Amino acid sequence: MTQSPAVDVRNLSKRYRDGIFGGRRIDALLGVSLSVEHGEIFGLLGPNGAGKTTLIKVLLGIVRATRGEASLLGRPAGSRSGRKQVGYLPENHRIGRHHTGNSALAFFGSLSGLSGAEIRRRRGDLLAAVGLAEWGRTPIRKYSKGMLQRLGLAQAMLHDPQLLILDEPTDGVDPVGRSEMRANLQQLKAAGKTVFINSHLLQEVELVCDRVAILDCGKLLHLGSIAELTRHRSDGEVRIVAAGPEGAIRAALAELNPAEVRPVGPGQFEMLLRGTDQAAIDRAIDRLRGQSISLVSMTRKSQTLEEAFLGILQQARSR
Amino acid sequence: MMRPYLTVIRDSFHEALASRVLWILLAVTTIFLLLLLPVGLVEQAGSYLSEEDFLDPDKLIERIVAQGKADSPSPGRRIWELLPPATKESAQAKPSEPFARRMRFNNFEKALRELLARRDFYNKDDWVKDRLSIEARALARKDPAKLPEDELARFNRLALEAAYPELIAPIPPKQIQLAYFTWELGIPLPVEPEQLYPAINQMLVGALGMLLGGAGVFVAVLVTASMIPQTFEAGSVDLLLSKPVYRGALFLAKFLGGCAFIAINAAYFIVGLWLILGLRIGLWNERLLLAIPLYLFLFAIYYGVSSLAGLIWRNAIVSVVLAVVFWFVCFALGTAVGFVEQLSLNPRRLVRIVPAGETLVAVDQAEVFQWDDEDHDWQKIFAGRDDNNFAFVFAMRLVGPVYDPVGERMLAFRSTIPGFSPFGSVNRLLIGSRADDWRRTEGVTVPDGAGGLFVTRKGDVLVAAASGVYRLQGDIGARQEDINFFGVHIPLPESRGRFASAGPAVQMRPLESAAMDPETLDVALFDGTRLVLCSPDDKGTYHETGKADFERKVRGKVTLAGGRVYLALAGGEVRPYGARLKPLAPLATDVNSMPDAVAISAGGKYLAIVFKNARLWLYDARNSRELPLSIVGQGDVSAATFQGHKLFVADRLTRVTEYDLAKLEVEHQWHGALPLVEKIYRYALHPVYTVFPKPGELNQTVNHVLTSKDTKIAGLRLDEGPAAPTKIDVWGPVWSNLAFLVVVLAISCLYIARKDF
Repeated sequence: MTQSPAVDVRNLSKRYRDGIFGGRRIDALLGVSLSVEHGEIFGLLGPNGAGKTTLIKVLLGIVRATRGEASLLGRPAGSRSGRKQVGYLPENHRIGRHHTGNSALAFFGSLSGLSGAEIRRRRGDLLAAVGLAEWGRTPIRKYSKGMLQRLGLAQAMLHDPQLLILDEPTDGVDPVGRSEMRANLQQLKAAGKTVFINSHLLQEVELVCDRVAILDCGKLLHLGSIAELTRHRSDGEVRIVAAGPEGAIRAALAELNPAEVRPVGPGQFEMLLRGTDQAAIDRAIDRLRGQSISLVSMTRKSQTLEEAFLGILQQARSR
Repeated sequence: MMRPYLTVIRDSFHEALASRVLWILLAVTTIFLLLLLPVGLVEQAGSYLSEEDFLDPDKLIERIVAQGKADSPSPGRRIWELLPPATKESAQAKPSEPFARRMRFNNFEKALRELLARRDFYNKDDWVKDRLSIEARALARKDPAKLPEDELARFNRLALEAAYPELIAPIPPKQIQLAYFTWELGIPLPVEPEQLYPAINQMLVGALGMLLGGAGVFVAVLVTASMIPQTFEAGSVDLLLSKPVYRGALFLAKFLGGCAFIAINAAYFIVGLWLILGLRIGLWNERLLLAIPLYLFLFAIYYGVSSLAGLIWRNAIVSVVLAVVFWFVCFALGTAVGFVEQLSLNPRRLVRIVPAGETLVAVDQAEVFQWDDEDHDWQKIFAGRDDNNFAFVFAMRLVGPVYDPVGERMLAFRSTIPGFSPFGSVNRLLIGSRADDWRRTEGVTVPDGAGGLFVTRKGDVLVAAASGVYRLQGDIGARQEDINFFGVHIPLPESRGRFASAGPAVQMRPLESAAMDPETLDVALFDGTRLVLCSPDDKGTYHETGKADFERKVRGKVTLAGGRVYLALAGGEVRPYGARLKPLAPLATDVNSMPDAVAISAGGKYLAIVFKNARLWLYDARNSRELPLSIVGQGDVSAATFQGHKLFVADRLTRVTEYDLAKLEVEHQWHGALPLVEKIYRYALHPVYTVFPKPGELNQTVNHVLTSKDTKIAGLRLDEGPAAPTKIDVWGPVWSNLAFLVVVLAISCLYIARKDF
């Protein structure tokens, strides 16, 4: 028997109605289909208003889909049994200001069906894992935004869910905290948990996610691994730093027509080659070496996730 | 299963404790209870001389004045010696005016009360020692000069009543004084504490109504208004709904959390009050504790509305405002319905139908109408020059009109309170002839205390009064014109026509009801404590032929025909009587209300009773069963009358329906145009009022819970005397409000279940 995906979304659409008598219609999702496998860290990317939070809310049953199907861990999206296995950290979440860290975990743990004893047993380690070990008894009105975010992550992890859905988890978190959060996510992945991240911070996503989906205006623009995404958009730009006479270097690379040759040190020149196939580069290297020119470095530059993301958006919007 | 929801309820407390609201409320309640703590009842030796203790004030004053002026020693001489000169002066005066006599008594009473506190009040030479009671003699032996103040006061009081045993009421051994710390409040009451408890309970109902039912509920709604909006605001609700909980149950748990929070406050207040009453006054009324759930329920109704608003708009201010608006709408609706009914509709309701030959005549509370076939509406008749005076000044109900088929005229008079004649006016017979287009004129004077007007088939006019039956003699319209003195009509004695006593020699209280059998001309008089049957002899002189006495005053209406007298009583019981008022087996009407009018068909075949709750009860006397006639507008009936085998019933203010009793079907209907106010009332105001909750009526339930009372006095009508206590629906408001609360919570649950957050 094949295991169903952790998240499975098929042709999902959501239309909000706004204004008096619901006259204004807003399509937040338009036929989105994607799936997330178990043990994956999946990133959902998109500009503001792309429909990322709506998709998450549909998955959790907070918002009802207008059309299409969605399931979590093989159960219909929004079902109680599905939600039992999900930990959720909403964007800009609010935890009652009357709580301490400990009491907040007790409250949300009870809502998840945990007993008091289980909560007490787990919360110490959990607070330590998110960097709040010393803050359990402190009223959360004294917490910084980053600390609240960590506490939010702790409550999402408290009942040891199979799937974590994190909406902007590093929002307001300092670099150290981000690093710790990345470590937490890697640990979760190592433990076989599935993590579904919605974030604007593409560098963070690039660092932790296995696969991403890009949404814009409710439509799915791209779905794939980070490697595929960055390779897909790369134009094979190669950067060569060589040491030798400038004229000899230019002559050796005449066939490749480098975009630019510029000095980067005494007797060293940098050249940027674009759209060049591997055979031509091999011949150029042979010529350089044939004229006793030293190769200081040679790197093939790939696109960042951000560049790929912006490129996909630009491409989609220009159609 | 329940753990998440219990957690939400517990979290509400947690939130309240953290926000200090609970502490503030508990602190305010504590301060209030501490302020109440010093209130207590102090049991003292009986010594107070109250106004009621003076059994014959004038005689006492005169006796003391006489004794004071005499040389021989007497208590009166001692009192006279001690009285201040001003009191002596006023005591010697012998005023005849009630007001002056009252002033004299007040002076004397005050001075005498001050004397009772003096150590030299009692002088053994002035008192005949034998008259002192055993207790007084024991105190006298202790030497009054050395007695503590309370014993001295009692001793002097005992000495006074010993001196004038027939003029001063004996003082009980104990008296109760309401006190706050050491301050005495009001005057001592010569009762046992237990005798005060009903009054204290009644005061409690009023105080709780204001404190908890009014201010308390408002404060409670204010402090809990933010709970629901905060729970369901963005960022918070997402987190909650992502947990494996039911949305509706989550809302209900939060709602119950708010209620539980208020329950703690209410319980603290009520239990504190209960302990104070028990410990300080000795009133251990455990029923007071039932006020906790009742006021909590009252709060829950408003909080339900506040929560629904908080759920939709997610704003605490909107929640409070809408709860206040809801309260105002409930209040305004109840008030508007009451006002429209009392001021606009009830005065227009037909209260009497008079088939006057070919003309159908109907009467509302102030005016008489005949049906106009051309206009298809009621047309005012029986109008006279003083219409406006009557309508404005006293709005007395008409007794009658009755139709005199011989003279083709209608007769009536205004009901008055016996002995009450404003500005010296007299009550006159009102006459309207068909020949004169029913224009009303005044006729002879009606006997004082008249309560019934009848016309025999021969055209004799009879009036039933508290002092017997009167028959009109002479010219019905004969009267001299009053002298008009600066607008006041000064009546002159009758010259030719008058009502003469036709016997019997009875003296009854003001009549509740009177009726005549048109066949036998027997007249039944009922005054609330006595039912008297009067029958005429050959000469037309009435004699008492039957009497039934009641142990206590009851309200009811009487009618008679076919040898039977029927007395319809408050509560729906009908007592039939046979010859000479021999009691027969009572009839049960299953209508729990006060009879408003009774009618009987010729020969006594059918009996109709219109109750104050606007239900008509029909009885088939021949077959001893209820008449199976479907009444149009049942529950809104205001009058009924028989004519032959026809029954006329008035409902919906001005609609009259004629039934054929042989066929048991509707024969004809006269339906006047509905005025605009009636349309608004019938199609808008009343339906809304019916479905709207009535939280204010919960006070009735609280009253019942605390005092066990289940009746209320409906009000006072000038022409009918105090209304009979009517049974109130004690638990009705609970059920109707509960239904509303359930609907509001169901809507809230439905809303949250369907809402995209």
